[in-house]
Amino acid sequence: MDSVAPPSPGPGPATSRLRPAPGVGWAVEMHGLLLRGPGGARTIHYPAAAVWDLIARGYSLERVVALTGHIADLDEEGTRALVKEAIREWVAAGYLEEVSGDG
Amino acid sequence: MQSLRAAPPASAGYLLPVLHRWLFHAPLHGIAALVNTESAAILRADAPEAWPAVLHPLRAALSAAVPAAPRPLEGDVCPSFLGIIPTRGCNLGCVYCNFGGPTASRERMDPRVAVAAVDWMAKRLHEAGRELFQIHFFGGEPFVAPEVVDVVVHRARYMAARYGLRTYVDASTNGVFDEARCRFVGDYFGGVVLSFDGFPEHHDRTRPGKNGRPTFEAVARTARRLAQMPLDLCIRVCVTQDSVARLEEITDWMCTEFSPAVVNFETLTPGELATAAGLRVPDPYEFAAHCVGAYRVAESHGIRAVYSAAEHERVRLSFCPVGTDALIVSLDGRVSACYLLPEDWRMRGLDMDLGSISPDGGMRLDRDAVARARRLPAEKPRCDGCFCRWSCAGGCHVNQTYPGSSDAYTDFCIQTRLVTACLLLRELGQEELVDELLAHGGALRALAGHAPDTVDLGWCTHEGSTPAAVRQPRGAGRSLVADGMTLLG
Repeated sequence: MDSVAPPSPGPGPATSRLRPAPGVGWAVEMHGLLLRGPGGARTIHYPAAAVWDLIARGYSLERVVALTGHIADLDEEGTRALVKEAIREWVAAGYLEEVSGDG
Repeated sequence: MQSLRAAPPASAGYLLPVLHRWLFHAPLHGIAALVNTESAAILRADAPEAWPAVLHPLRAALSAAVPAAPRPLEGDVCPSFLGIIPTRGCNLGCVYCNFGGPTASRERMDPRVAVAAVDWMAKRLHEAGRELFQIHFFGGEPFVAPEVVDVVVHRARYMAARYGLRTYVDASTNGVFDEARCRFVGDYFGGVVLSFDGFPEHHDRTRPGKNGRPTFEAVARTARRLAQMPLDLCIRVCVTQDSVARLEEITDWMCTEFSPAVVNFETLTPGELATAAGLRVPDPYEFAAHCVGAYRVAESHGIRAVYSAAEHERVRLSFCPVGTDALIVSLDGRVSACYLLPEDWRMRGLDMDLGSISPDGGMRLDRDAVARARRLPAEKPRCDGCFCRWSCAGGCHVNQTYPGSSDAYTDFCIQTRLVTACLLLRELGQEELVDELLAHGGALRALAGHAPDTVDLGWCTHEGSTPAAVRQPRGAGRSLVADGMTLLG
């Protein structure tokens, strides 16, 4: 068990090198998320929906993988594959964009 | 387990003095009436066949209704909700903290324990044919363990999708967290119970941050944000002797400023920290009067007010999750019926632990412990003759009606009886009588101390044989027959 730290300031628990692309919106639905962007709308089911939420809220990729492992109940290898594939798809579809380290 | 007196008959009615009249209440029937002294005597003593015509509407209502007294649950455990305590740590330094305050453990729950609990619960609900998966976060302050909350929420939604369940997530929180966390709550939570003790002079005295820094502005900011989100915001006010006289004012401000779904008033629970801070529990008579006033203010805004012990709209056996098969999972994997600290139960000779869950997913529930927790709410000798038996249900099993506690009414009983009676009178359209009562110290004391309230209505028992859920929803609306009754004599 970790020790408790005060809630982190700013937009999320840590900076990320991925973020939702401009013009992309999403809505939480009963069992997943609905992504809307320039390429149209897409429903994301679990566990990928958790990956999107964690990235969108600014978690570092390392924490996204760690938390997704628990959420999806996968080992590290399986989790990395899941996260990598989701990111690849979302970047290709224009929902996510990579940003430079400072920004 | 103590041997305690039998509960009153399920068909019990109650009579209590209100100035020169009597308030009749049959909570299991959902009936209240205001009667005069002569009618009260008839209700107590005479067979229904002998009741005069003016009481026939009441007799008909009592005969038509089918009371079902809540009973302890039986059979397999199917939890009413899953409680998660991500940490006992907190980012505030509330001077009345009942969860250890400065000595509270700052550890966080292992996410594997959280996942195991969620998985067990989802599967159990599915097996039982349930549709709703409810999770409540307790603390400490749950959001100082944000990753545990994230894992629980997403794992629950994942499992809910797998089993075709709906999720409802809520939390008790101090509201000192950032905008990003607020958005997360708005996206995924159905409700929030936000502790907010009033104006700065009240809130910052009772709920300062570490090192005594004020938190009023931060909590107000969170309240404003949450008020804009699609969730039920409940603002919980801990009322002390310092704030009680301004309860109506506080309520008006909160309703105007935040438009919450609910404003909830609870009195300070005495403790070492609160005493050391010079806080006092409000006088029960003063609290009752201002609480009723605050109800009126909230209602004028179209907002629901709640003093939880006076929720007479629903019949219940237990005041709290204890006895409802709610499973509260602590950060160390203990599964309990109660979210209070184990040392608090033990001080009362109680054991609220039901079992444990391990990180590898093994849930162990002790059948005897479950049975013990189910029976506990039914064993309330102090409540046997009280008209609040099925609404207040004895209050906290640890702090109010613990085994061996006195049979005499406490300040908690007094304020609960007064508020409940006033709310019933208001439902009967007797606003002026409520004012008259609240202004009459002798009448208030007579009502508060009246015992027993019980009237035997054994003649109209139609109780079913199936054990009822602990929190039995009321069926049709309350029958209001006051007009006919008040004509008599």
